Amino acid sequence: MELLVLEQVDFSYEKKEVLRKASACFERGKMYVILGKSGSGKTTLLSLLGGMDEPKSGKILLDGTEINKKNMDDYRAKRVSVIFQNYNLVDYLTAAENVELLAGKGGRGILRKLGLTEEEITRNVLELSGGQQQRVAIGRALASERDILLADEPTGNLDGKTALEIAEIMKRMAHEYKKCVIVVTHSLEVAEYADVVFELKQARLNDRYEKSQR
Amino acid sequence: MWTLKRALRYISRKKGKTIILFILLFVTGTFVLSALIVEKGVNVAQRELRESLGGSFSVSVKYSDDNPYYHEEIMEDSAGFSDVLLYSTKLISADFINKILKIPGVKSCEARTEALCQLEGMKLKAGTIPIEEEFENQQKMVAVYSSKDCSEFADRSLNLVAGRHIVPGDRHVILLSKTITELNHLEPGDKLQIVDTDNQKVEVELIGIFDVDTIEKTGASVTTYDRIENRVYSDLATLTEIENNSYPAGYDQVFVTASDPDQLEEIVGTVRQMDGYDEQAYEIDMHDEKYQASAGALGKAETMIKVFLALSIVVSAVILTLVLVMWNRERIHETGIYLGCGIRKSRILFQYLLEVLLIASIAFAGACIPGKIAADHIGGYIVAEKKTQEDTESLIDTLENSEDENLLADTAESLEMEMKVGEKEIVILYMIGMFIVVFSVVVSSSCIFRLKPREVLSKMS
Ligand SMILES: Nc1ncnc2c1ncn2[C@@H]1O[C@H](COP(=O)(O)OP(=O)(O)OP(=O)(O)O)[C@@H](O)[C@H]1O
Ligand SMILES: [Mg+2]
Repeated sequence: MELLVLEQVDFSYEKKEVLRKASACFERGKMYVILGKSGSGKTTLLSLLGGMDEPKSGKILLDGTEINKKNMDDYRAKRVSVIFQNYNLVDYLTAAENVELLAGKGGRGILRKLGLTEEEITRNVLELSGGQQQRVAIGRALASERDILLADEPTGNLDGKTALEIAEIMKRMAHEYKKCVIVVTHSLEVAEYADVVFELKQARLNDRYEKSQR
Repeated sequence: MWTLKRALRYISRKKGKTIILFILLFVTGTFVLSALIVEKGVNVAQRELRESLGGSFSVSVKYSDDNPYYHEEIMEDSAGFSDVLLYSTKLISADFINKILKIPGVKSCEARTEALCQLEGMKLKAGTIPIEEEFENQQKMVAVYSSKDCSEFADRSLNLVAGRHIVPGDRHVILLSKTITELNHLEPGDKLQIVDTDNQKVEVELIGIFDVDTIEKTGASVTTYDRIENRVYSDLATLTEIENNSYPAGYDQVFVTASDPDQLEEIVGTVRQMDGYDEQAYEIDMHDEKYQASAGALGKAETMIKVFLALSIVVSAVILTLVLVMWNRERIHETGIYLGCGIRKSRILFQYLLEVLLIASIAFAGACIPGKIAADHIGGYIVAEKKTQEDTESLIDTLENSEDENLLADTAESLEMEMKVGEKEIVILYMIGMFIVVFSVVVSSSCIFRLKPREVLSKMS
């Protein structure tokens, strides 16, 4: 059952065409990776999926309903959470408090599950490593009731090993917690963890491959 | 998480910024509060000044040819000396005075009649215009009902410096000028003789001494009896006794004192419309120069304070806005995260507002102490400046020379007394402060909140 659908979506900035007739389907319980070079429009696509802007033409459907100006705020507030490459955390809140922005009181348990110690959970987030910070951001997304997780280069600032740990966590989120995880990245290694990979190239969004069975 | 909780976390964990904001708002609070306190002090001083100086005007019978009731008669006495008798057949009646008393805002009426008299053995200050021998020892006598209310004393051209005023019911009492009492070595309580036209004597008691506080002191061309220093203030009974003429009954002049000099114009207007007022026979003089001069000085102080207050508000708002804009870069990230978490813009803005408001409410409370100190200094400066204003007849000059020396102290005291931080000032300070904060936060955040979420996001990565 399709959760999120892109239908013939066009998007361009004043001079630059970023998406042309892009179509795709996203389901619950799968991890998607959208690969693309720098400047190919990954962040732009993600912001459309995240309800942060509107396509110039075409539709984005959530459970069969078009996301438009009216329900966009609601969509952002209830259905989707976003992880960025950095600056995911509010620096005057602790790790636990950052998670509690969305989760109420259940934050700590999730962070422990993601491998943070009790001490790290209450430390100022700026004193956490990049990988730990991304775990907190994922923890926050996980803690929320939201079923769509969007991530923009979540591993961009991390070393190879940590990057793969994060990718693994994302995959678990899709499979164990039945979320729809969409990651944009230029890293082929991260793409290995995906169920479906798209490629964004010259304003076209192509299916690269789909693992028939994981 | 609660908006308030996030705001509190920001304040407690971003200590540097909190301190900068605190100092900024503390200074703002001090400036605004001191301006408010001084303004209040000036207002009170102004009100007291109005009440103490009062305002008055006189309606007097015209002694000139454009008055149709005016007559000049040449009288010849038995010895063959001729004398000019000047009189008007239309004088001011008691009835007319009663009507004036009924006008709202009129505090008191003082009718007066003038005549020439001679005090036995009195040395006078000579005038600058030569006059006939017979008038050389004559003084102008002004019979008053209550000398305190008569215009020269009311507008403080004359000030009682010793003894007491003539009050209703007084008989055979006089006031003389300081110049004359010094010249004749007189002091309150001394008995003097008035010699009337038939060489009969009326004994009077000197009850008070006045000083002259006008340019008339150095007056250019006056006759001896017109010199203000030579004037005798007395009661109506005494005047009637020494006058043997049978003029038509009535007063030459009535002085009207208003409770508030600001109402003077209006009252004069009413008098001019009154039945019994005759444009041809009477003329009206306003006596509010002292008030105008002093009010001018205080008015200037008030304007200064208002400008100072407005400048404090504008400058604080601008500085606060600039500081907040400087921190916007960081706030963009935060805003992006909050937006990403689905927290509404209005909530986020409210949080940013709360942070500054919380700091402001503490800073303003703290500003009460330096605000009071600053107000005392500014207030002191205003008083000091007024003291040195010798060219204009300032409030303090006037009061220093006044019969009531406490008045100066009173006014200075009231300035200081009212410099206290009152509840009203604090409420106004908070209102102004909140306005500055809301303005600055909204203006500085507007460049963040104007952005679409995607734009916030692209600024983050
Ligand atoms: N606000 C904007 N106005 C005009 N052009 C823009 C704007 N934002 C992005 N672009 C352009 O659109 C194209 C796609 O930008 P986008 O940020 O989506 O790329 P990206 O794939 O995320 O790149 P990167 O991997 O470097 O983050 C780029 O060429 C960029 O210069
Ligand atoms: Mg990007």
